[in-house]
Amino acid sequence: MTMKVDMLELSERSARFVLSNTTPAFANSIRRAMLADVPTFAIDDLNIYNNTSVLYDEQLGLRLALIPIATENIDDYTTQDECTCEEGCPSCEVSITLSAEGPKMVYSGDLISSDPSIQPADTNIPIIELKEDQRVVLEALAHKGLGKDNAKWQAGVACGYKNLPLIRVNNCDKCGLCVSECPKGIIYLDEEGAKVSEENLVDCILCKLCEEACEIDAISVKEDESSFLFTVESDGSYSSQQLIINAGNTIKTKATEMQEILNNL
Amino acid sequence: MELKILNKTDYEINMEIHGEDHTLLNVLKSILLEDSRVEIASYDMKHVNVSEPILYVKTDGTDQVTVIKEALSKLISRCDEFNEVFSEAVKAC
Amino acid sequence: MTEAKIFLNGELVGTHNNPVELVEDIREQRRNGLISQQVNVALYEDINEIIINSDIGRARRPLIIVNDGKPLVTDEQIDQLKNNEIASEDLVKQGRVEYLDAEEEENAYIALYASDLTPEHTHLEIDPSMVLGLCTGMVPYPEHNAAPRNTMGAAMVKQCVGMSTSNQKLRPDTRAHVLHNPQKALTKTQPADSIHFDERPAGQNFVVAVMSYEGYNIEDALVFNKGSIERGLARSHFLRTFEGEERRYAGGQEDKFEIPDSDYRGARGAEAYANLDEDGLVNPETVAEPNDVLIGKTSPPRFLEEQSDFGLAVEQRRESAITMRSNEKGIVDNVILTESINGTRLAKVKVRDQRVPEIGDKFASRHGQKGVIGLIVPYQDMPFTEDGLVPDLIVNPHAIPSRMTVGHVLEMIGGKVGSMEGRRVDATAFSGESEEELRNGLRDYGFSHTGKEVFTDGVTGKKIQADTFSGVILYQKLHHMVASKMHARSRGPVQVLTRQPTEGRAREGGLRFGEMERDVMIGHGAAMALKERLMDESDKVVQLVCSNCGMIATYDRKQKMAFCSNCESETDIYPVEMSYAFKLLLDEIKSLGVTPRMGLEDAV
Repeated sequence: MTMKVDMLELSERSARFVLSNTTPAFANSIRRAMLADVPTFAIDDLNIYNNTSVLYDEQLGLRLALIPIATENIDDYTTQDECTCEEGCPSCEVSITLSAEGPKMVYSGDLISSDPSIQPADTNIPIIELKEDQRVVLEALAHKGLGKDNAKWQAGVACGYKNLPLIRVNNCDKCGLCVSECPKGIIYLDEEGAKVSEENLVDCILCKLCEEACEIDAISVKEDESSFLFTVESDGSYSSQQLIINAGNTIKTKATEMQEILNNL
Repeated sequence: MELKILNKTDYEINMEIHGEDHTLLNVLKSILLEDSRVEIASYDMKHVNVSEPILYVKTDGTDQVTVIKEALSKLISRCDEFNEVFSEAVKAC
Repeated sequence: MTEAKIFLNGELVGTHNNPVELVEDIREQRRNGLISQQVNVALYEDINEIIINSDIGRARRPLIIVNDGKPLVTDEQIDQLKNNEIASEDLVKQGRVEYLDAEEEENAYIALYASDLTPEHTHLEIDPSMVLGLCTGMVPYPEHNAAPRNTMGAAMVKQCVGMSTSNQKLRPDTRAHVLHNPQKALTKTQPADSIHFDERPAGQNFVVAVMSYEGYNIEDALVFNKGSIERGLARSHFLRTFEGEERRYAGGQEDKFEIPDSDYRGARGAEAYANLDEDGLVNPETVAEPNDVLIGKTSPPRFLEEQSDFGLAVEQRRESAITMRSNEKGIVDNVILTESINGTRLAKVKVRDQRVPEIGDKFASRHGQKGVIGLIVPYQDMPFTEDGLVPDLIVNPHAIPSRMTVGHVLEMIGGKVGSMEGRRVDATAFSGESEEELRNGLRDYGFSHTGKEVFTDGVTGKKIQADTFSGVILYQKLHHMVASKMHARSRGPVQVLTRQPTEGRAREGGLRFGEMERDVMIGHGAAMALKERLMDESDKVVQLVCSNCGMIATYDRKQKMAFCSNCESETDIYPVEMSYAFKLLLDEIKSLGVTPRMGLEDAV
């Protein structure tokens, strides 16, 4: 059976779609690849020349590292381990500087990148508030990395899925108990009995409170083991569709690499 | 990624795969189990933080490496299928 | 009838015929202001004693006075309080509210609610939650917890890491902890508001799931989310201040802050002082490793006669630098050079060490549910919900039923409702938001009213069969961190007096093999293991003992012969293995003028 994808919502930073006719293992691999295996850029090294703000250097470093950085063509760059240079070159490292003096709130838009194609994904992320006579002058080096090494390189921020529910109603006596129990309010009564409308079916959270409430066991809620409703949110380093496609490609790359090694055995 | 074959007999193989985790191995294992020639397929990671997963495959006699390679091809084609179907769905949106 | 004895602050001052009347009079006059409000009086009718206390240091609490079943504080006063026309001290002066200490409370019959009042009651609680003290007042929903758990929760609130002062960067405290991202509690109590806990918060709101995870959260261990930790969850700094003073000694000599010369006594090599500036002090933002020198200081020689190596009184100073502790590292945060009370120069070096949560750090909720991190799980392996929500912390369900901390469970639901509705939830004792309200709040936001959600396993991708209870609760990082506790020693320094291993981690000490452990070895009959513990691994020494007089003999190196100075014999002297502590005991007995003689026998 071939896979099927039904897009429910798609925007720059988030997506919701139904993936059917596949196994939980594949769906989970796509989810894990989105979180942990799609590479992004993040600040990794910091030279602080002046920090008279209220935060310690390490605290400032963490805040800078967590700023999502978007690249136009991430494939042009390599990670530090794979790069052949000794110390850092334009293909594995980007220098980002910040120089600010209070009183002001320093935002991610104040970061100046040495490579115009690599910029913070959002310019309105507050970094630190500086009061009068407080300054921060630093140079940061951003490297490419994977989410599984550190959360700062995580490309997808909230990626989850659930199985689609299969709700069946037989011999309903229209008592309406299930309707009042449902926290999502997706059950309604009509002449034939309790029903869930097609478009509201995806809202079911599989809590099965309606099953418990029904005294004659007329309603049954089961999971469809082969269709998954995905909710994906990107942190800005990729667009959501880019992220999902890259996740699939990452798994493909791993499998191809393994195949090659096995071929050469 | 580095592969090290720990031991191999006519029916079984134990393979250490460095640098990988559940993302690749779980789906590979599930595809291997769909193959009727495979009797046992499983993988083990000693500890979450110190993982060098070991893949264990037992077949009915067929060469295990061939079986694994075929499973990988299936995985690759599924990834391609996913890519295609997803891109179409995006266009249709 | 026998007269009642009257004790004032523990001293018998007189007797009285009518104790009941006396006590009532004293209380009346106190309420009218004729006697100080600090006086408390109690009557014990069975033993016929009146105890009057007026000393300082008694813990007292305010109660509303009840006369004939009616409280003296009426709605009129409450309105006046609300409009700020009177203050609460005025109620005390007016004799409507009084402070009772523990002794006088024995005579009081206190009602919790105004509706419970009968003519026999003497006082009314201002609010039922006032039966609890300050720290227990921090615990949300304490009325749903078993009492010992509230006690433990209150004790741990005092140990948590937070923001204790607003001038942290300026103060050189000997030891201080600072939490990086403290959060106000979503579920709060009124006592917490009264002490302005929000301005000095000391915990973070964690998303918690209650389920077993791979056996790593058994016996109160906690499973943490690696991604959350990497984003700064529960990160703290530990600051320690080292102090050095240029002391003045008799004879006009004094210490000096400087980089010691290489020929000073005890000087380390040149690299040890590489981080010091010309004035002998280390610069801020230098990385400090264990045993690094922070303040270079030299002292004059201790005994003036000591250093006559060549017959000249060479003034060889000693090196007495202040170094980093042997089991700590960090970055120098601040260096202060100032003047001490005695007018000498004083240098303080503040070193900061970032403590990222690691396996072994202790965390606790406010309900006495403490635990140590057992495992840090990567973000992808954690169970997730349909929105991609992943818990920060996984708590074992076995922790709940035997401890009966239902307040913990309620706080999780309360926190969930608070985070969805964007408001704080009031969880004051006896008057917090009810369970019914919280469950309705959950249902309004599309969650099951049971608080359980459908989670999918992050490793296999399959739905976890049972729904998992999850919520948001304030967890505190306690200052028992493994980096401050881990300690190991194989061989190391020994005490001068007893030649036994030193005590304490700071002195690289050994762990005591105490009396009970000795009993264990005896019980097993492991004689050689016991001997190893107490002799070979501790303070064994071989002493020559003269069999003629039973005293300790000496060994003459030049003549290579044993010699007993007591009986002047050179034969019949045998080596005996003993602990140095025993030899010390013999010396102490000798110092009393008593002769401890050892009788020697052939070894079997």
